[in-house]
Amino acid sequence: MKPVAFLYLPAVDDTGQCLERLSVTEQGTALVLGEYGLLNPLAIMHELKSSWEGDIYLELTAAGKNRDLIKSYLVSAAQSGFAGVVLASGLFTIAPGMGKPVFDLDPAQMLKLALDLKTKAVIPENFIIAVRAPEGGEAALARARFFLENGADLAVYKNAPPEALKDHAALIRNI
Amino acid sequence: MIVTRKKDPLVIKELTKPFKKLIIVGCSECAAVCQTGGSEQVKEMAALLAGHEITATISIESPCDKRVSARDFRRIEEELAAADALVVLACGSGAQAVSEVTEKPVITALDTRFLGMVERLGRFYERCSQCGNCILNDTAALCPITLCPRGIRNGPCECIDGTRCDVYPDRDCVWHTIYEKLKQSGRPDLYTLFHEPTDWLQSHTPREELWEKK
Repeated sequence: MKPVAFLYLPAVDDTGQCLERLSVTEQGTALVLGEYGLLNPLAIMHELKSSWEGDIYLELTAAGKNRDLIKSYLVSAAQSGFAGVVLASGLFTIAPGMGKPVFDLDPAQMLKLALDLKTKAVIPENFIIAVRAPEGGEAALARARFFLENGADLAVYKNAPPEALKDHAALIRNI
Repeated sequence: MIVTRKKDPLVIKELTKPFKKLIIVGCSECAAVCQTGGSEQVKEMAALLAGHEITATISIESPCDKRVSARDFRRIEEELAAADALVVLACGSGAQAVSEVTEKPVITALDTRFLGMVERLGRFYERCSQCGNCILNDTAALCPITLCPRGIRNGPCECIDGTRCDVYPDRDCVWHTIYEKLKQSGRPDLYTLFHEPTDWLQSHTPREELWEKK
């Protein structure tokens, strides 16, 4: 079943700390693990699954990955027990000495890649493909609509979704 | 136009140390417009390297064009033969063409930055990333690969802040601007045209464009 709300943990730096934090969080809601911490969410999925009652999703960002790695993440997320992914472009920070930014795919291209994997049964049919929606003017709304019209299960919003899309939108809030 | 920037003069001095006789080569096209390789900058370089024997200075119209470089170097054949090295005030392509034509050690005095649009002197802007997968016909002649820091071909992304770019908050998100321009021109349908991922084979270096013989 598609969730209507997500709890979001942007960064996981330590498994113990993560479990402790989740132990005092309301259980049952869909949880999204972000990739901004030291730990790759794929690495802690096994331990999390036994302590979290709701579905767990991976926020899969395009940042720092080429298309091959994104494909690998999609397949790995499905096989590790994630209920789905929330696709996003990811943050771009400018800092001295930074590594070369990689944005090989954008969320629309990631969506197409994920749907192709579903068609080929590489990832299961019930694996949810959500996309972080741009929020703000008409351009943002048109793109969010594009995601939904082109196969996304959900558009994920930080703020109240536009009325026109609310039946296919989910809210996300930080833990 | 190729936008260049001068290297630190101390670096040039250090790099030229092993050589006694030098020729200074300027570019009277792109580098001249950037005021990094024009005749004035050639003179400045000659003054900087006054401790060396400057056997010739030359401004080549397009040093990146080997035909033009070869022609112009023929005019200073003797000086070239005697020179220990050439200090080239041109883009990387120009410096390498000069190296290939003269087969002399080359000291590159400039850093090559980007393919630039000139607004006026001293105002150069990157508008094209030379990706080889041009989508300008669908994006109101604004290149999102270059103007979006993430190079997103189907935007905007979730990081848009209202209509602003999250990376450069003083600028509108290019995808917002594309949307507005397409709407004004009566082609809003182009906005959600899906653009395939970049075919990196088109920009895999070193690139070549070789005309087929008919």
